[in-house]
Amino acid sequence: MNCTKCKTKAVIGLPRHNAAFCKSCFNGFVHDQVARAIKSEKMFGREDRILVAVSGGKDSLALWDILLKLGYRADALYVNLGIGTYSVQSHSKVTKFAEAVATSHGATLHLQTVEQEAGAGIKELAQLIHRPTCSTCGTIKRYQFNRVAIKQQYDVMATGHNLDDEAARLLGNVLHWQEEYLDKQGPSLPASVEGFAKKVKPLYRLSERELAAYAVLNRIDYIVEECPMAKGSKVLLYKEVLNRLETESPGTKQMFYWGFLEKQSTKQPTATTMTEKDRAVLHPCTSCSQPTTAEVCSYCKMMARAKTVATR
Amino acid sequence: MDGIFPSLGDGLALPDSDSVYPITHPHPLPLACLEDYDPLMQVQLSHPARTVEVEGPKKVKELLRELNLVVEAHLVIKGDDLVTEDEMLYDGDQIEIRPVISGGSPRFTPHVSRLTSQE
Repeated sequence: MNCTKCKTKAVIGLPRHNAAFCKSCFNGFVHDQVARAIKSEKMFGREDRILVAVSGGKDSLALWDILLKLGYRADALYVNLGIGTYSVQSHSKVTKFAEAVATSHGATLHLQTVEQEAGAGIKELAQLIHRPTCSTCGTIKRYQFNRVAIKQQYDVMATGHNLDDEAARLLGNVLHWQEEYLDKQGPSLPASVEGFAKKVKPLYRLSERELAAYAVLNRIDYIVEECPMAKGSKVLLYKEVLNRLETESPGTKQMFYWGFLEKQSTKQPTATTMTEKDRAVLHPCTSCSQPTTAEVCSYCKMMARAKTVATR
Repeated sequence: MDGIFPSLGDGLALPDSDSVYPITHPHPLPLACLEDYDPLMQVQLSHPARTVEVEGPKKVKELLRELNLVVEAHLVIKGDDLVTEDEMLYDGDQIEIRPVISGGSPRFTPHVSRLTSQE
């Protein structure tokens, strides 16, 4: 198989684009897809300060690498979740990448530890408050990333969600007809109220396989092992189903998610926009001042409950 | 003498059997066995981490099909290099099949010729 662009030996075939690329042309393709996502969704500009949420996985490290190579001002935040050897390894991968690549671009890595912030790791917290680990993890990560982005005055927060993540999430929402979540499935969410950072997903045009290939080809050392808490997750099942469809019918994932985005953008504007809706229901948490629909935000409620149970 | 031959005093020394013949291979293979030995393709898999031996030659896409793996969810790495689905793989090649889905493959039942190790 030869590269579609330069005709040398290809290292990856991309059936959904009816193309194959050598390393150099593949890097060009990946950078171009991210640049197109940033421009078309008006994610950020050259002067904006970006905070990338990194986990030690392929997507977030690839995102940080790509943004730095495209010349953006991108720092990163890693939240150590306290999941045994998995967190030890992922922490090590992130710090190694920061030392080897990011520092030379003048970028900074911020570190947070759930155990220091909350007094226990994710697993222990979830057990204390009788909530699923992944849901506890999501609440804590979203809260901590937003807090750091606001406190350190970043213009925008970027996450490594890729095409597979978004297509799987959309499938889950459609299967359960959770229409109220569809508005928030876009790759660029505005800072609708004070205290919420703008959130963007610059990798939504790239598949999980393409990002893994980018990491391997560019010698980005990422954590391949699965998160021990994610076993049996529904999202994994949706991804598996979508990948079977994609193999039989290349382009299925992008048609599903990008088609959804197109429909959303051409939809008749409703009486109230997402920003207006947010402004109507969100106000500062009485405990920490971050935006919430309740009197006390879910993070503060969770921490209060964990403290009560722990002191019994 | 320190190291390979621990001293027994008075200048006497006996070979350290672990050093001369490592525990994993206590006896050298007879020559006839070595002549018949045909190293198969070594394929490293994840979730859980294990190595399987597969007979070559065969194309990457045939290997994935034989292992019941979906192309879209995996990368195939030969040595240090990514390879495309039409690449031919041979006996003796060191291959890694790396899952690309964050969180791993939830339902994976490989049909393989020989399982050589399991962690």
